[in-house]
Amino acid sequence: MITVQQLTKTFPSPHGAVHAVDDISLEVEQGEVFGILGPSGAGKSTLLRCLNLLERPTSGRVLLDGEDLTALGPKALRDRRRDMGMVFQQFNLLHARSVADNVGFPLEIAGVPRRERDARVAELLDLVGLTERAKAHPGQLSGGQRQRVGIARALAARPKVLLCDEATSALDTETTTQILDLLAEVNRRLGVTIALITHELEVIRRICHSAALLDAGRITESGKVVDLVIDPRSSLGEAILPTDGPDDYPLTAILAFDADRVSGALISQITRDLDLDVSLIGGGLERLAGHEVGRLRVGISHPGDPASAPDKARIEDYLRGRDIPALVHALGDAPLTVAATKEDAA
Amino acid sequence: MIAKTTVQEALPEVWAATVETAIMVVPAFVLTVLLGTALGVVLFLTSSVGPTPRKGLNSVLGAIVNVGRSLPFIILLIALIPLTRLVAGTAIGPWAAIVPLTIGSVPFFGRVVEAALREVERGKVEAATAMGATTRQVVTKVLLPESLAGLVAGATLTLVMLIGFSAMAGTIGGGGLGDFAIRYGYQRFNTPVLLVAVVLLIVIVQAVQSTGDALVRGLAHRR
Repeated sequence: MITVQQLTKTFPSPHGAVHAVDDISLEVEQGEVFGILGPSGAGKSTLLRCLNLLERPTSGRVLLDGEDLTALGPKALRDRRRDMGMVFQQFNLLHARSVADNVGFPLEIAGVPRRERDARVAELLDLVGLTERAKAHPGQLSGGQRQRVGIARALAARPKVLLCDEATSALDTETTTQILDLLAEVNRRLGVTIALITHELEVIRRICHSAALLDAGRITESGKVVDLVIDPRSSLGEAILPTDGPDDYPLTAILAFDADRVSGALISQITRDLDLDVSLIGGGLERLAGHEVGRLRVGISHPGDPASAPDKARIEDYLRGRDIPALVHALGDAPLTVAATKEDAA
Repeated sequence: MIAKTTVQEALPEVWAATVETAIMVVPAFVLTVLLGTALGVVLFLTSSVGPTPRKGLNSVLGAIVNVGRSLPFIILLIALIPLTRLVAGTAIGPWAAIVPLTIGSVPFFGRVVEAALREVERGKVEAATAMGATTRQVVTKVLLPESLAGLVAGATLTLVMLIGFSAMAGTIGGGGLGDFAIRYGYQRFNTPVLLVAVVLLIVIVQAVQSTGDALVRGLAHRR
């Protein structure tokens, strides 16, 4: 759907060139919700704005359905932009217009006749639950309502893609949940592909199918959310489903698994099969992108002798045999600091 | 000795002077709003913070505007006499005064418009651009409507300024209330008649300002 190839955006600054986006390649698949996570200043916003060329990349290409947007002339680019709705953190509604006229704005720009516009606007206001506020002005709405208008507006021209620039960062927790649910519904019901940037892990957990971690203009990790979480070495997976806890057992392991595939009695089975004590330190199960996945941090010790270290290779072999991705770590090894991303990095 | 003109006797002349002021000010105001808006839009669009920066064009326009604004109006009025004669066929009378009045106030209103457009959040322009809006659509559907309250406030300011300018234009043959006040008050020491002109000017300026303020309030209410 969206293909980004070797994208670079450099801004001049008094201290030399700043690489806001540094050689990024990524692929957003048709129908998915793709989340780009990163702290503020990581280049998220620049990257997103390069997708519809609000920001012209210094080099690299952006393809929408195989068509290179960077090669288009102004007229063709304007046409393609109608295929990409955009939702903003600060809503960016027009205050001189009513809610209905804001929603109809993209259609007005595209020259759609009034009657047709009105019908579409009514449909969208119904979708976002704001039919009653059609004649209100944006200033009379709450933040959550404004963002609903923003989403309805972004959908007006029936885009294939929705680009969301920190769409929930200006909202309180409860409203964030509602807006995320609305975006998920838009994705599911209308089949609109969504590319979003956020610094909130909750956004990734709640609605994303795929995620990428952006740091200092580079993607350090990316993949399907489920694959990331069931990779014990993934720091993005660790951020999404953290297994915090002390590593003061002789052996500590991070077990990551798809709970639909692994029996619920996993810990008892390990205990029984290996004749070891397995203590739960942290982590848990969560339903992500339609999968029940687990990430557990466990301490492993001999039942009678808690100080001596069990045989690490034997445990690794056992877990490999059970097809459970794991990272086993002995006291004294380099610490298990996979969690490079702290919750709400910004 | 000839008796001083009474206020009563001067009233028809006051009325004629008011009409002359209107003949000068109203067309000059309309032209200023049109030309100044165009100028302000171009100044904003081509500025470094605008959607289509053009450094060269912006610098040249900015320099012209600054020259226009540096000259005191009374000097501009005299310097423009040849141009006024060329455009209006004469340099005398209220109709001719429209030329220097307009030229004197366009640079001011252009800057007012530019400043008002700068107040429009960048994100709104960006949102429209992301929807595929042309620059013209960005101007007519986003920038001007969103800054309307500021534009109306600026236009009110400009209209009051034009009324002041028109008094100066009056002294070099434009007629109007300013000219009337100078003839009676300054040249004939007829204070009562001068007072009538002064009061009338105050009332007109007050009316303009109140109307402008009410419009701005009405526009601000919607948001």
